[in-house]
Amino acid sequence: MKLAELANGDAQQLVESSGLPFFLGPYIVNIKSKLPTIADNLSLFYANHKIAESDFADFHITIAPPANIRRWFKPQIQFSFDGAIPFKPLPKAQAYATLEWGLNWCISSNSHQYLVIHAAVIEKNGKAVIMPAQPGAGKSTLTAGLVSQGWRLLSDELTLLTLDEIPLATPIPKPINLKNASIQVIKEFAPDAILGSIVRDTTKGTVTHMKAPKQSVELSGEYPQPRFIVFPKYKAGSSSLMTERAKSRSFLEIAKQSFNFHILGEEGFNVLDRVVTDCNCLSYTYSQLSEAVSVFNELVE
Amino acid sequence: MRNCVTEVLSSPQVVKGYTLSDWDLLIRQARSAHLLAYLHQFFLLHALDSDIPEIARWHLSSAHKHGCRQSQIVLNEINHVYNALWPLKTPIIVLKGAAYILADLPLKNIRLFSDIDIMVHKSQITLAEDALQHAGWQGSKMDPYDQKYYRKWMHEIPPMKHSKRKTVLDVHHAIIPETARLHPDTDKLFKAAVAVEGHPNLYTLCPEDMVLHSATHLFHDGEFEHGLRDLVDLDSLLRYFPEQNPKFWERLVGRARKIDLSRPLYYALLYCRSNLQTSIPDDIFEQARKQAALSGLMRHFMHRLLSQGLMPNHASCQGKLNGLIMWLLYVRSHYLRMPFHLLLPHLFHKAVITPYIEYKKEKEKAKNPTIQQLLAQRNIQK
Repeated sequence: MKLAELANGDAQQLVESSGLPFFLGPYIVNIKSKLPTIADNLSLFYANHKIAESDFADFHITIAPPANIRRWFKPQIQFSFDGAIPFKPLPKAQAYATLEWGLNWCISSNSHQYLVIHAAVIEKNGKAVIMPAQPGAGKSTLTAGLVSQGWRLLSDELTLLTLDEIPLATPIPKPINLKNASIQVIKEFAPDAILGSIVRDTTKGTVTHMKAPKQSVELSGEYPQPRFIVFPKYKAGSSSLMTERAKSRSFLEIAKQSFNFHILGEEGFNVLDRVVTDCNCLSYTYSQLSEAVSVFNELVE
Repeated sequence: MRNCVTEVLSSPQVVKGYTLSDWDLLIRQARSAHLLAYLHQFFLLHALDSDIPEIARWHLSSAHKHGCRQSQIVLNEINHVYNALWPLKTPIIVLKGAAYILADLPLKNIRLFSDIDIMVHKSQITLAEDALQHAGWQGSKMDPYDQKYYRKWMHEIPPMKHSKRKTVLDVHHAIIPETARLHPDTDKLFKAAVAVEGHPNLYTLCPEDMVLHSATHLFHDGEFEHGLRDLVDLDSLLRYFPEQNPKFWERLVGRARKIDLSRPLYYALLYCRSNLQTSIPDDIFEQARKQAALSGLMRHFMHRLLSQGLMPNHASCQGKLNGLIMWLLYVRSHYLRMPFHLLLPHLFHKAVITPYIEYKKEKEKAKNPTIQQLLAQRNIQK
């Protein structure tokens, strides 16, 4: 049963009481909060995700006010991973954004059954494209743009590579995080995209989220093989240019972007070696999303 | 209130009847007790690996991978510390978790922290601190009160952090503060220490002292943040050492008497036996009990506190009086470290003065925004 199929008010009741358990790719996440904004946003963004009817959850997450005066005075909220508080409290208005960031943190800091890379990963025609995160790359904007034009979203932040002979990318389709200028860009480029409310004054500036397409969620069980590693760079006014990039350089860059490369040691090295060897490594400079979409479509034909 | 972790550790076969709901609780409690990595190894040891549901498996193996990595980091760190202190030509004893890894004990891959604890003679402490600073370790940013607390009264200098590697190092000159009520002779510990092969001047405590130190750390000045994990460490040591040396038990009790640590030893034996089913010879247990000379009233009171203190630090294990009990354990640990005329002003300072100083610092900071804050403001204006 999907979240959207729950009877009216049931989702909210669950979130406020024992927590709302749902599948996110291979994970079962349980979210608890008495804040209406959490239930509302979950109902919006996770409408197509399946409710987990199991008694087991991988991550028990709570969003609640802190146990001090900031409960009432200039209200704050706190992200709790089963009682552990990994971050400082944040303003109440940022409650939902905090939930999404916190969930990313839970996945990336615990999942050593994968090589976890700070990169977006999307798929078309059975071929996955990994886009490592670098400042100014415009990765999230590019991801949102491509996903709005038929590409499958596996993740906008975390590439989880399985530790197999042929490493595969793990789908964890959750809302895409959009910041500052990219919000307007996506609104214009993809007017049908479902965006959440705008939140200002966060450490990353103004943020919002874009809902993952229904199909991306429905294909959560299909793990594609990465075929391309593209290092994007947004440069205002530039023309679209895709060039080959040295594999050695690419390997080092991605290793730097891997959260748990040092924990997996030799195992992680070998997985990255296989992936970089089997992928085309490319650098892509762009300024127009429409051009980017054509170029990426050509890539996977 | 159900403590699945202790349930499983004391009777492993119970997991065969566990539902998914039980596994969910077990994993969560074990995580908060920092025992996930240990459980992974534990299940392998008891041939229960196939009884772990697929859905739960990655939690245990992931934690174990992390633990293995931390062990490597610890060994690397010990090397760095050794090199930094080598010119002093003074004995260095590695303590606690780092020592278990160095001595290659069975519980070496379960730690998820890479802090190192070492002990040097008190006369060498200033030279040691200088040598470590020279090699890149920095003292903690502490207010003058905390500095005084450590240097004047405690058995260690304030924690040092390496500027590049960000690893933490605690340098002790005794295993109990000088102001405490128990007085184990540090010289005796050095005399009995076991040399680490291939590393002149590097030692670990002898097996009996390792157990006694672990017991003291938990039951004497422990604040019970990781009470259960520390108890599991003790249990592991008490299972391993008797296998290596049949005379271990007698030596342990004799040593406790000799260095004035009979009471922590008794608590260790009592709770390892009752909570984790550690096998302890009856006569040894009786001897330890007599030596501890604990009044019935005190034993009863402590039992009430320790029943909560040795639970996983998880909401599902916290009874109504949890807040009060943990506070009493906190006060007790300080009471045992220092006499009343020092304790009361200290508690007052920590409870009132330190938070006030913090509040004033925060106010000052808010007046001078950081670059990030200014940039974020600019982004919004865009």
